[in-house]
Amino acid sequence: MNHQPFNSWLYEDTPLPAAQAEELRQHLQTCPDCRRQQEAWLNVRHMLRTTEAARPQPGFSNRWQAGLEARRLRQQRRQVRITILALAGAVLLVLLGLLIYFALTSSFADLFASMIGTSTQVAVGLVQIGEFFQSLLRFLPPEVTAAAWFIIASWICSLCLAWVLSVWRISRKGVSSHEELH
Amino acid sequence: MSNPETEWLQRSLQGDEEAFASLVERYQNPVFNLCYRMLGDEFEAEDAAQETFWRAYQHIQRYDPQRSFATWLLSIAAHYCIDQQRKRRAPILAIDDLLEETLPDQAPDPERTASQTEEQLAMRKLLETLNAQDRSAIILRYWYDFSEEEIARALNLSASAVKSRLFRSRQALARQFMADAARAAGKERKQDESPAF
Repeated sequence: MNHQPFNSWLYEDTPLPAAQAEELRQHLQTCPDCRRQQEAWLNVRHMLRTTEAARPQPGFSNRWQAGLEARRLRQQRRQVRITILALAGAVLLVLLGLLIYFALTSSFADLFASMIGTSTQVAVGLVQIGEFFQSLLRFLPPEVTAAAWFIIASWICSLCLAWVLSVWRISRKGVSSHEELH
Repeated sequence: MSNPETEWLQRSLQGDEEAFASLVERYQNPVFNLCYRMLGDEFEAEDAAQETFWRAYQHIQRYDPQRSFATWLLSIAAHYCIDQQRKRRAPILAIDDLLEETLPDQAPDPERTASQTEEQLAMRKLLETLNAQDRSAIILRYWYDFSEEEIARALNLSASAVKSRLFRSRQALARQFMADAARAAGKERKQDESPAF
């Protein structure tokens, strides 16, 4: 028996035109194979429509929020690692560049001599600055000297504190904002 | 879309985590159900649903408020589950394994629970005969009443591809149903024929 186009019509999702529906009905009366298929499909469709939807275990959204926190933390730590690695890489690259530059532009002896010369100049400069401040302190009244020391010490302490806080914040929370998470 | 949802969406678009958590609460069941129907395992479905919401949260800026949020969300879930299916290509679970595993219990009545579990198992067995994309098309069509165009958009397929996939899937499901029914009838006959002592 020729089952086409009836076999295709059985699985059409949209209602058939009246004439086709009638043709199909007549075919089904004489074709047990197509009738079995139609019954099977109607059963499956009923199952698809009526099978109860599966639900997650209670507390799904709480688990999602906990997961979000964990993922964010992982992402921030990864960001910190990337930042540190990028900085270290940049420093290494600069050092390598300098090394290559000096190696290409001057001999080792010149390099050594200029290094000694520069170090000596820096040391002499530091000694001169120290002497300048010492002579300055001798002329200033002791109150002003104490105040100057106090201000310098406060600045150093503040800078240290800011540095420690920054390191702590980056290591704990990373450098990401909500926007970056998106 | 109802007003609170619109508000949650707007707030979520501005980065409000609590508003997004409300959306999670609201859509957890449809997303979980889709993942469960696609993957056939409660734990994998939980992971997939969590991942779906995470991806949605990460890419909320890409959501077009003119479109349905449910469609967008289910599309993410379907794509994720299709990928998972492709990755694992695991053999279909044996029926004994399926029977050992119970679905989340929602009904206190044991009889009802048993019949529901049976129904769920039959459904799962049927869906497992389809490939991942066909399965997602069938699930979106019959569980979520998506039109062919909506399925096409959600799965990045052409409307004609969806039409032919749905048609092929209906045929495959009906054939599987007939095969299961014939097997069950054969089993029953054997039991009836066995001598009673």
